[in-house]
Amino acid sequence: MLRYLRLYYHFFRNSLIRLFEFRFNVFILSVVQIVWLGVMLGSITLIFGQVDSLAGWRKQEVLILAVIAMLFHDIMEMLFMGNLQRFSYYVRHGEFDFILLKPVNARFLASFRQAEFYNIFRMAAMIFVLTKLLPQANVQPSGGQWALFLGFFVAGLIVFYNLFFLVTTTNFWLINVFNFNDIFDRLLSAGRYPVDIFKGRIKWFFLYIIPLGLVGTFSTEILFGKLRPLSLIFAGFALVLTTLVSEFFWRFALKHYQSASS
Amino acid sequence: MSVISVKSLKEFYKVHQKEPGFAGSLKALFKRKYYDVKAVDDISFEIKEGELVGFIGPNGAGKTTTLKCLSGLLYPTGGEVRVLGFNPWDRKTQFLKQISLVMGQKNQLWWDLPAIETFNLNKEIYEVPDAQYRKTLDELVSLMEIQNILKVQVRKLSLGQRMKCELIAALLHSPKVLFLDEPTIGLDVVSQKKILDFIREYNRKYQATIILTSHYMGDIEQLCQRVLIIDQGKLCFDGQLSDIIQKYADHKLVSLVLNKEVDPRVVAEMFPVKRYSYPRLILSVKRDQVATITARALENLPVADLSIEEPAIEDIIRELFTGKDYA
Repeated sequence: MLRYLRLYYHFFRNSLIRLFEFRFNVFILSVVQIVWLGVMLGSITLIFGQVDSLAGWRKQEVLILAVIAMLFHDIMEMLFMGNLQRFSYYVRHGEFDFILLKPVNARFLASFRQAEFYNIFRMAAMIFVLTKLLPQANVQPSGGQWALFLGFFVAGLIVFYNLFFLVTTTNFWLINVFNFNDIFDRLLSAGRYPVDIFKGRIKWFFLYIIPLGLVGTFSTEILFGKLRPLSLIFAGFALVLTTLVSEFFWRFALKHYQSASS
Repeated sequence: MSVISVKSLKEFYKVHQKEPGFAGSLKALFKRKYYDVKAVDDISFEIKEGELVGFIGPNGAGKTTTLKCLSGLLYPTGGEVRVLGFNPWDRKTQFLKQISLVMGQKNQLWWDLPAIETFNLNKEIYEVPDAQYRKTLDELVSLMEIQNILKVQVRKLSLGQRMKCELIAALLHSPKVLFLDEPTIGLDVVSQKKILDFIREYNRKYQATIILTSHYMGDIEQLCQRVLIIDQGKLCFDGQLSDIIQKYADHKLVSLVLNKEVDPRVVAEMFPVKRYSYPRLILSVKRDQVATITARALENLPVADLSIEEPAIEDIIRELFTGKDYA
């Protein structure tokens, strides 16, 4: 475990060095990302110019949820989404060989070897916005609430990592399926709204099949002092199930890897 | 003791074959034709510790596929492979720490960072102790003479410089078994020589077992005494490089320099001409007829100089692959 933490430190360090190589790009992207944050918050404010609540959620609550869900997305992007998006390229061009040749867990290397920091200023901006929004909504979470919030948040990250990785693994057969990234992007965007906006079976589908609640709804509710029935059990179940299934599928898929031409 | 042992190795896979053009693509959307490729078909060989073996064959012969099976990248369709006592496919950490695969056309260095950053990262990945890392790095950098480019971003290096860095990245953990797949491809003669000298020195110094594939016969001739020849997935020859001449070259080259021009038609009627461009005439003569033909040439042609040579190995191999006569 210590070895992998040390390795991750080196990946992180190299990624930062790489980032500083392209400082103008970082500046432009940061500006664009922060503008997007403003657009998202502005559009929610516009909606609440017409209605008082959205599926029982007040304006400040929806804003907090949207920021937390976007933070969720940006952390995913920083830690592993870039690597999984490049996975298809590596398989198609045979560069995945170098991942398999290293005496390190190949899944770890494929998932985390390069961190992306393009959203880092937006993440800082979001944390700042949260510190303003929480008091406005009269929310003062206790230490326990923050701990439970973090638990849900991290569980959500792991579940979505497992799902994304599971889909990415199909590249061994399908070779070029990076469009799945777009689907995940859309799902994560949908997670910025309370799952309660869906009704009936669709709500059930988005809660438990595609666990959108884990993007932000469940964790944000903890800050408001609510705990949705079964959400704790569901988060634990989803965590274990997706970890097992994605790992089993990965090991199976490795046997079908056909290195590209050299 | 054998470091590499291959018994009846097979690697088959299916390939989708698409008819050319847009219509072909449209058709392939609904129905695809697949055919089986026997990339490696029942090959066996053993390699001892410290051997430097040349692995040659035409494009698509199965060389790289074999190396990928030996390094654990591909799961073989059949047969048994042991490298350093390990089954490569298990991809055990202890196995991966003792091997390295260098592919001349692929890049493991971080593209936007100086090569030294990839070296440092590989040190961590392979858990090389600090002192050993510094010593090995100094040795390799000085052997390759790349002190001045260590801090330059990889994307700004020339192909030759990059290849030198690739080799260093692959050798920092001092692998006992090294698979080199076309390490000199696309390099100029100076870089090519540097890389070859380096491989020879690495083999001598560390007693490393090396398999080298190359399309340049010069590379193989300079480094390897033993060669494996593979074609269409089958192993056609396993032996000393010098034995190729004995086995496959049934003729010698009689090379003449003439001091007066002779009508090419007349020469062609009397002698088995391989090439004639006045004043140089080269005859390809069956081994048992060398004395007779040489005497006839001295008698009938205005010869200023004469020499008898073995044909170049490169020519023999080329003829071998063209004629496909492995008897």
